[in-house]
Order: sequence, then C-alpha cells, then structure tokens
Amino acid sequence: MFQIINQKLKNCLGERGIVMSINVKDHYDSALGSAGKTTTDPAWPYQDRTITESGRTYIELTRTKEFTDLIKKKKAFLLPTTIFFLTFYFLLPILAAYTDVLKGDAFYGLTWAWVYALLQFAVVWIGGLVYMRTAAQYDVTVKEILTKHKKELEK
Amino acid sequence: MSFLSLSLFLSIVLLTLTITYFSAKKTKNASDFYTAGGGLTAWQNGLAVAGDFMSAASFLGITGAIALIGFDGFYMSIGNLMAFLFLLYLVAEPLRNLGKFTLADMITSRFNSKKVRGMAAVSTLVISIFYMIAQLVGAGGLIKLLLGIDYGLAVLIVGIMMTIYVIFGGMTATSWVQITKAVLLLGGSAILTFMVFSKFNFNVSEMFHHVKTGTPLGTDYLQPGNKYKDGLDMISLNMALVLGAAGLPHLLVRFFTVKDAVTARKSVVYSTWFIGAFFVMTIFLGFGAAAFVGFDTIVGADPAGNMAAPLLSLIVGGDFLFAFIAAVAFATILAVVSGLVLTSASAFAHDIYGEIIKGGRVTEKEQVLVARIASVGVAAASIVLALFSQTLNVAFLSVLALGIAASANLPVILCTIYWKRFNASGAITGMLVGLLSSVILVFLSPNVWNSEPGAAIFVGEALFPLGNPTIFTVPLGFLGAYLGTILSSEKVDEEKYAEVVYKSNTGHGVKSVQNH
Repeated sequence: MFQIINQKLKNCLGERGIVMSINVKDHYDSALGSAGKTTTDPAWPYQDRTITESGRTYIELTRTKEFTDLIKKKKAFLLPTTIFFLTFYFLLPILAAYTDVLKGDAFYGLTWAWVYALLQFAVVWIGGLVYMRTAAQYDVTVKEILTKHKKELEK
Repeated sequence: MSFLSLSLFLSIVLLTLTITYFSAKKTKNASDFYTAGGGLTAWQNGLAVAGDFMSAASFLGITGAIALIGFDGFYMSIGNLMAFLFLLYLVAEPLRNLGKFTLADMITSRFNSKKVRGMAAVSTLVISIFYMIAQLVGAGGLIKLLLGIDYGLAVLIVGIMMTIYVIFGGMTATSWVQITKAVLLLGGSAILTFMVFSKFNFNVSEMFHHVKTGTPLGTDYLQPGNKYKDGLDMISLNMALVLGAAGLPHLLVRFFTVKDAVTARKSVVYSTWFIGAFFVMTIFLGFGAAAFVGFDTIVGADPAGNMAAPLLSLIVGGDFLFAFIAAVAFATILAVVSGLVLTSASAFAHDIYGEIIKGGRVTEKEQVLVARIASVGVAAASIVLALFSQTLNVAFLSVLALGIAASANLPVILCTIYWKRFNASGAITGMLVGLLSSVILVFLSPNVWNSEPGAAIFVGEALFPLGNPTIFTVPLGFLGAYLGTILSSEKVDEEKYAEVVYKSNTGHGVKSVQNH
C-alpha cells in the first residue's frame, strides 16, 4: 500500500525534485492533486491543509516547544479549575439531598442553602474574570506562535 | 384585552418588525443568514446569549417556582448560570475556532464524514424541535393568560412572527430581537425588583424573615427539599442544567456570530453578568410574589405558578406595569423561538441539504433560499405539533432537550477537541447512544406515565423511576463515544487531530468577518 502511494507521489512530485516527509494516509488526496496547494473542493473549508516543502505539517507544528508549552500551561489551568467548579456545583444538590447541613440558619434570615447558592454566583463571576485575565496571557503567546510559524502556515 | 395591553403588545410587534426590516437589507448571503456575517460585538452577543437563557420559562417559570416552593425553584437558576463557566472554560473558544455555521461544522472539522454530519444535524433538529414545542405550548398558555387571546390563535401569532423574523432577517434579525428583548426584560425585572425591595424597606434580612412566616410552607420555605423528594432525580436534573448548555445547538451557534475566539470569550463573560443579575432578581420577584400576591392567588391563576410575576407587577405597579410585563413576556417568547427556528433551519439547509445531499456544491443564493424554505417548514411543523399538544403536559420537554444536549452533543464535542484517539465511528455511536437513551428513558419516565389521569401524557405505571435520566445518559453518551472508537478498525488520523488542536488553540484559519 505504502509503495503504491509512494510511487504516485513520485509521479506527481518526483520530477520537481521536492523531498517530502509526510503522513501518507492523510496526504493521499493532496498528493494526487497538486503539491503545495489546497485541495480542490471549495465547499470544504477545512481541507486547506498544505504540504509544505520542508515537510512541516500540523503534527510538527504541534510538537514545537512553544506550542507544547502553551498546551501544558492551559491544561494546568483549565483542568483543576473545571474540576473544582463541577465539584463545587454538585456539592450543593448532594448536600441538599442527603444531609441537613444546608437547612440551618446562617445570617440575615438566610439559610445555608441560599448562602451556598449565592456563593455559586460569586464563583461564576470571579471565574469569568480570572479566565479573561489568564486567557489574555495565552493570546500573547498565541500571537508569538503564529508569527513564528508564519512561514510554515503560509506555504 | 385592555386598550393599554393591546397598544403595548402592538408596539412589541412593530418594534420587532422594524428590526427585521433593517436586518433584511443586511442579509445577502449564507454567512449573513446563518451567523449575521460574524459581525456582532462581544456586548451584543453577550446580551443575545443572555436572552436565550432569560426565556419565558425562566422569567415566569422560575419566579413562580420560587414563589410556590422556595429554594427548590432556584436550582434552575444556579444550574443555568454555572453552565456558562463550563462553557467558557472548555467549549466556547475551540468551538468558535473550528466551526463555521453549525455544530455539525465543528465536529466535521475533524471527521470529514457525511454520517457524522448527518448525525449531528439530526441531534440538533431533535433538541431544537423538542425545545420549541415546549416553548410554543407554554407560549400559547401564557398569552392566553396574559392577554386573553385563544390558545390556538396565540400559537399561530407567535409562529407567524418567528417565521417572519427568520426568513427575512436571518440571524441578524434573530439576534437583534433577542438583544432588544434582553434589555426590556432586564429593565422590567429591575423596576419590579426595586418596587418589591422598597416594600421590604430595602432590607434583605426583613425580606427573608418575612417569607419564612408568610407562606404555607412556613420555615421549610427557605430550605431545600420542598419539591424534589428523590435526591438522585434532583441531582440528575442539576446535571442536565449544568452540562446541557454546553451542548445546546441554538446557544452554540451564537458563537459563530462573533469574529473570533476573544470576542466569543468576552461575550460569555458578559452574558454571565446579565444572566446572574437577572437570576438574582428572580429571587426578589419570587419572594415578592409569595409575600404580596399570596400562594392561593398564584395557584388560582395558574397551577404551575407562571402568573406569579405578572400578578406581582399588577399589585406593586398597577395596570401599566402589568401590561408592560405582559408585553415583555410576549417579546421573550418571540425571541427565544425564533432562535430555535433559525438553528433548525441551518441544520437542515446547510448540513443536510448543502453538505450531505449536494456535497457542498450549492450557490449562496440557493443556500439562503433553502434555508428560508426550511424555516417555513420547521415553523409549520412545530406550530402543528404545538396545536396538538395543547392539553398535554409537555413542560418536561425543555429539560429533556437539555438532557439530550448534555448526553448526545457534549461528550462528542469534548472528545473531538480533547481526545486524540477519537474517531468518526465514536462520534456517531456517542451521539446516537446519548440521543436514544435520553429520549427512551424519558418516554418511560413518570413525566410521560402517571397512574393519575391528566397528570402526564399516558395513564399507567412508569417503567423508569426518575423524571430526569441525565445522570445515566451522560455516562452512556461518553461510553458510546468510547466503545464506538475502540471497537472500530478506523485508524487515528494524527495529522487531522494535530490540525484540530493547532487551530482550536490558536484560531489559525478562522475566516475573517465580511464587510457590510
């Protein structure tokens, strides 16, 4: 299978002497078309995948240090916070269903159930602001990455 | 209907038609029709997103529920609001970066498969139509109560109005009607809240102490457990509320109306401010109704409590405020249903007709034409279904829609963005299992079967004990996605996944906004 495709690749590109290292299955279609161009179906907006002459595809771009660093940073922020939000959220119905702790009076005539519920509002608002601030930092990194990868992405 | 009510009611109709007239001029191509050309600002989209959640069900329903059952009525608000945090952190930005017009676009950005697209379109249609029937049936009943118009006529008026907005003004009209209504609703609620709070001498403590003694529930009023006796069912409901929003098609398409992920992110945060403020106000309205309207009067007007807010406005603000609140409730209904028509029409015209049947080879003109025809079709079908459902208790359909969104769409959305091994078979089985299990379990539940005649659609014993099956169906949806993936021989397309990861994190390749 690989050999057949490789042969076709050579037929397409060989004469121009472009050396390519690509994922065969992914680029089967592109290879049959013209190298370095997008695929032909204009209705399909997601196929504008290019085979760059240096062979740097998305796999390679996602393996660059700057990109893996970004993903690591995002994961370290998003995963624990999401788990916290879900735990904090589900604790209310669980406590309400199986314990009496939320039934006691808190202050100003509110029971703990209302206090907990309103705390969730505070968590949403604070969580939104924290996200906006953190994401603004990612925006800067993303801009740097896109500038750095400009050449590979344009080819 | 009084002259005052009629004139306010007509002003809403005129205002929305004016919006539609100006939007129609701007609606030229498919992108305009489906996503308002992607040109909404963060504040505008924030209000529109908020508008989708400040529905008649939340304005009238939550106020009534708080007035009648106290704390249990407030779960809906907490869940709906908390859902936005989940949406913001995990879904909104990747969705904006990968999608174009519909939810199916986003999932097929990874799997170029007609079956995946078809499945996503079917799930969108099922969710939106269930939601719409619940809204239309509710609308018919509410307009009858508020304005004294006959149920059938009320459904027809709402149905015709929503169709006009969508076919002429597309997403631009739908969004601006939603924004206008969100402002009206926030304003109306703020006035009511102020009046209620002044009656409690602007004292939170006095308000809470007052309702502790002033309702038939006594001190239990402020405690959880007045409505939901089954803990598991209640937790399951909360799960549908918090996870459903992130899979709700008519909400997700709102993120395609802005130019990039940064704007999408801001619009979610702004919408949490609007919705949060609104839900805090529903506490005042609910307590106010419990204190000043009274349990018996509220139940007398409508057993479900939907008349609590309008009756409260009559007592604290007189005829004018009542007519104003009724008109705002009418605008709310119109805005929410038109968003649903548009979402269903997009799934049909763009996904099923444009991409699946025509393989993407359709002209702009043809796309918009088909979308308009689909809007009429979807609207007509929903109106007919709503007319036949008049006597049925279908309020559970909106929670069912959230449950399907959480079980069928959310697992697949998350796996598409975050799971490398995921494949097209997994996407199809995930959506299919989530959708079928939700629908089947609800149709075996006490919401549909009740031994008391009239309490549910059918008379008999329910085979499934919980009214909300979400706590089972969400894990089933994930399991379907997992098993479908590992049991198929499909190879992982690593380059495609790398592309999805790269694009969803950087926004590379997002189409720029068109100029108007």
